[in-house]
Amino acid sequence: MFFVLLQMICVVMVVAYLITRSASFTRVLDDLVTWKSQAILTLLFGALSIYGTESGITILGATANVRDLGPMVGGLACGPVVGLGAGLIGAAHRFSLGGFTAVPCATATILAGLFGGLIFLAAGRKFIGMHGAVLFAVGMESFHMGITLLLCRPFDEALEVVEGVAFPMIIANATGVFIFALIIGNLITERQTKAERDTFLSELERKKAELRIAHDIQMSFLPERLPEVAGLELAALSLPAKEVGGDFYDAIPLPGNRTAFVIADVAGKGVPAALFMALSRTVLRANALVPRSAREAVREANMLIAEDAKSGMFVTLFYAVVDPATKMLTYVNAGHNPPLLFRSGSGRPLELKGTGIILGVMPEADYGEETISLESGDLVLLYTDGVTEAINPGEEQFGEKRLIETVMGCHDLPPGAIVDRVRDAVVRFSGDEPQFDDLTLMVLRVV
Amino acid sequence: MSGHVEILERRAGAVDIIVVKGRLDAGSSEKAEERINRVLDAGGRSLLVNLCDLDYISSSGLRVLLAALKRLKKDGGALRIACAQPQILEVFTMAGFHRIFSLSPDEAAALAGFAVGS
Repeated sequence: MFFVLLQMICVVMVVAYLITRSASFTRVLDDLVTWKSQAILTLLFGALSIYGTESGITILGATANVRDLGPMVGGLACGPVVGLGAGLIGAAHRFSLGGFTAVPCATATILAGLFGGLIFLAAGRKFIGMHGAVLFAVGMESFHMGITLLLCRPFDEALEVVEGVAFPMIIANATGVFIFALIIGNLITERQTKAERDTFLSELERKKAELRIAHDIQMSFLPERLPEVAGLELAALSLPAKEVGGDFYDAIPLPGNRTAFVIADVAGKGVPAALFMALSRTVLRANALVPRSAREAVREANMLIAEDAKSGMFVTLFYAVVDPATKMLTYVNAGHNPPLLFRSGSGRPLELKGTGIILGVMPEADYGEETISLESGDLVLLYTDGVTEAINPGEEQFGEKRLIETVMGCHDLPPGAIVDRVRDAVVRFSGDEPQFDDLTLMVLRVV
Repeated sequence: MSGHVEILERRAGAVDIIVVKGRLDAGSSEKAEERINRVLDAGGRSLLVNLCDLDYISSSGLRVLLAALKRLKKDGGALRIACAQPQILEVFTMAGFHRIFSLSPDEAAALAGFAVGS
């Protein structure tokens, strides 16, 4: 008998696997049942019920069998229609075989499918889980034995049959349900994991795309090349960080041969920061071109930007107009870290300090402006805090001191070479630390 | 670097006190923003940010404070900053923050400021 049970378990395993992997079963898990999928599942579980009868061991005309297994699982996993349908198929087949237990056996099989289906509904149209399913199988088979005793006559014979088959039938059916429950449980977990992984991957994909878009916006708003400016040599560089973005620089040709130089840093990251950068740059350009003083250009730009600034967006800005005819530099510093003016032949640089509040926070803010006289050989270094706040693995900042030393060490090189030297120094200093902030530099030299 | 920042929350009457210690930079300001937003989401309308032990603030840190200020102003609340150290005040001054934030030398003064509603 042990081998018969073992053989039966193997068959149940294979059938359980095949049924649960079928498209119809997947539809049930997705709660997308159709009449067609229910019909297919009814036939499959009905066939399993017939197999359960045929594979049983006959004891006195009654068999220890797993006929109830198909209807039970069909009901538990797919609802009352499949359960009852499979039960009717199994019952009809059993009834056709006859024998004095035919009526209670057929009845029990129909009820097995029906009860399974009701449990499915009670559990909220889903599979009740392994423990509940096995418990149900044990209860159902005990009930099966009960009605056999109740309905079959003579009672002595019925008792003899039940004594023979009760234990193996309860064990066999419970084992079969256990196998099904295990496979269905695995399938549900597997699908959940897959759904979670898919969500995670698409989220990751979306984030990557957003970073790429932010990067593209930012790059498209940087000048492709700097204009030729009489009396000045220029170079600039911007290395956007992976996430934090919004630095920009600009050189805007103005009427009267003058040029406006801009360096700015938008606080924020991703697409919002990139869009804010694009807005700030465009507004500033438009205002620079209207003939007016530097401080008025910045004041107007601030008013427009502040009206659009949401959730704490702001931009630090240094704006300087250079007139090559008079060698005068007029600047407005709106909260940007002070650019450095290296006078030709002298040591420490001069800081071009703040003359007003950052752009975007106070629509009515006023700005001051300063004018300095440039001389041949003077060097102006404009930069963003991504340069001085780059950190090394020891969490030290690159700092202003290192920046000044680097520039002083190559003061006489062309601006392009100075920009490269500074970048190299920062990159070397940072080592393997990721670049946290955009790194932007502009160098002007008076010829 | 994930930012060495430590954020503590306390309450004094109707005032929510957030103590930010360490460094408020690109790596840590997101965390600070989340914590502040949680307090504001819970209905906090008087926010005191204690910066006694803040060593460093970058522009992302400024953005977090500014976002909180804007949100509170819109909802009729108030934000006061207490006890910013000289190097922090320097950054505030550079950015012009001293003109838009109420700065108090210490927590007691800031709490008193909430009391008189200035």
